[in-house]
Amino acid sequence: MKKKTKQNWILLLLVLILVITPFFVAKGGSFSGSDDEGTAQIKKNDPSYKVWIHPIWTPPSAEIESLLFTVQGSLGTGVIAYIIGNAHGRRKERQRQQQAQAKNNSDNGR
Amino acid sequence: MKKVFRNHLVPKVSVIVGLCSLLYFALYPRDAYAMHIMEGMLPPKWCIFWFAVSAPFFIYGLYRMKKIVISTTQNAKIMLALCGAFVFVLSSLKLPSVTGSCSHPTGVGLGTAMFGPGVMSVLGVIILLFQALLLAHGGLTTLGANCFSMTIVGPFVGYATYKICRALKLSRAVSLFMCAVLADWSTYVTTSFQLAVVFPDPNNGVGGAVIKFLGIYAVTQIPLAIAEGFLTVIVYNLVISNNLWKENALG
Repeated sequence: MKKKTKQNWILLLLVLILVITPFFVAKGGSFSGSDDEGTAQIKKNDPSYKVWIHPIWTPPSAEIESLLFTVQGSLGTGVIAYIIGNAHGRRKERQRQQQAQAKNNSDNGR
Repeated sequence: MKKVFRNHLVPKVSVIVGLCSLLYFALYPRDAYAMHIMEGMLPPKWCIFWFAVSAPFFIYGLYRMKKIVISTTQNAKIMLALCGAFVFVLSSLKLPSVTGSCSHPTGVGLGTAMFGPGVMSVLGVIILLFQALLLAHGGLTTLGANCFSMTIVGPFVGYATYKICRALKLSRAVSLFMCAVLADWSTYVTTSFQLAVVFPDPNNGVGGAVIKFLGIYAVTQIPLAIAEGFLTVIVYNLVISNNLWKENALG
């Protein structure tokens, strides 16, 4: 268990490195995820293509969009944290009970 | 298992990272987007085609999911929820890539390794619908195509990868890492092909377009896929060390 925890910290560090490196490597990049640029590539290949349908609802602003993305992420995080936290608590409690029982047994044995 | 993990992962990762950085420098900095196929970006007949292709997998996924829900395997339902939540979190994280653009991981590797490839087609659709309806990210008409890449090709590739890695006697953690990386990456490779078939390059045809779209999607995705692989192993470690899931249940 201890080893796994250590492993997790190392892995988390690697993830952080992977996320931070781009800012040093691709200094000229705009870090956009813009849909316009994708449309541009498609338009380049087929200038006659017309977008025939648009999303029925678009977030009114970038703030609202990031709000909704955050909601999505935090909902997921909440579920994961609850499940793992709950299991962690149960495991600790079981250990505690086992220790208490072992102690009781050894006390009674005396 | 832990020893094997450490001995194998470090040289392997450094080789992968080295190769990837070569690729980035060949292609950077290039502004690009790497997302699902947007609403209206596929002609109607292709939308219908991809819906038709994805539908049987979705039905198979429902069947698999029902089996899991009624099974007596300890914590099966809880783990299903956890896998779904993991996809939710990862697909909301738009991460920067070394190509100077952003994209997000898919998160389907964890559920694939735990429950097989079918289940993810159902969980994935929930996430794709959420993003299409509330975030104008992806689209309803392109749902079939996006499902095919993210919830069908990704998981099946990941599952095959996992099985092959295990057959090669790699540890579960390394196999899971490879499973998540390739499930993520193959999703974006599929998207590139889906777009290239519809929008061939005027000069170089479909082949030329595949290369262009791969440059946009697949290259950006490489570091993110690796990050996703690490995150998947982290969650898996937490699951195992808290007795939520038996280690040998993973095959």
